[in-house]
Amino acid sequence: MTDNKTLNVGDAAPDFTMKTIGLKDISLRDYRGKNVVLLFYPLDWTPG
Amino acid sequence: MPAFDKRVSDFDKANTQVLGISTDSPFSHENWAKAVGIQNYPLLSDVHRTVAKDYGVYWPDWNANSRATFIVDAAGKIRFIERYGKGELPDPDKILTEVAKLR
Repeated sequence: MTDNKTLNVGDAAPDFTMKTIGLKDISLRDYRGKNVVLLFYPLDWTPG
Repeated sequence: MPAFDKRVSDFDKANTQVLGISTDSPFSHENWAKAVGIQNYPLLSDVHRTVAKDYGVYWPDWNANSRATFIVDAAGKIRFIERYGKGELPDPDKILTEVAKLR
């Protein structure tokens, strides 16, 4: 298990590929040319 | 987050994609999205917790990620980070204001 890395403003955003509903893959690089807002939330069924 | 789902068109106008991320499976996401009314932006499944660790938001107590918002610009650079404590939620208006600063 790796430790948390620390990211700061100005760093390159680490790319990722994850599955979404319907098991489709989505990668951060798919959106190059657009801004992206990443909303990390703890678990489904938590507030928000 | 339903509060963001209602504002996706405003983010679209600002050339901005919204993505939700948690460690739940796509099957859990599907049920939750239907229950709370999230239909305008994708929910992604960080089932291996690798993305949480890459972004420094892994939460060992729950083997999940903590609550945080990152804004990535069109060139793939992080331009804004906000981390939240217990009971705190991201504010769509504030995040839209931050996105608007990127132009």
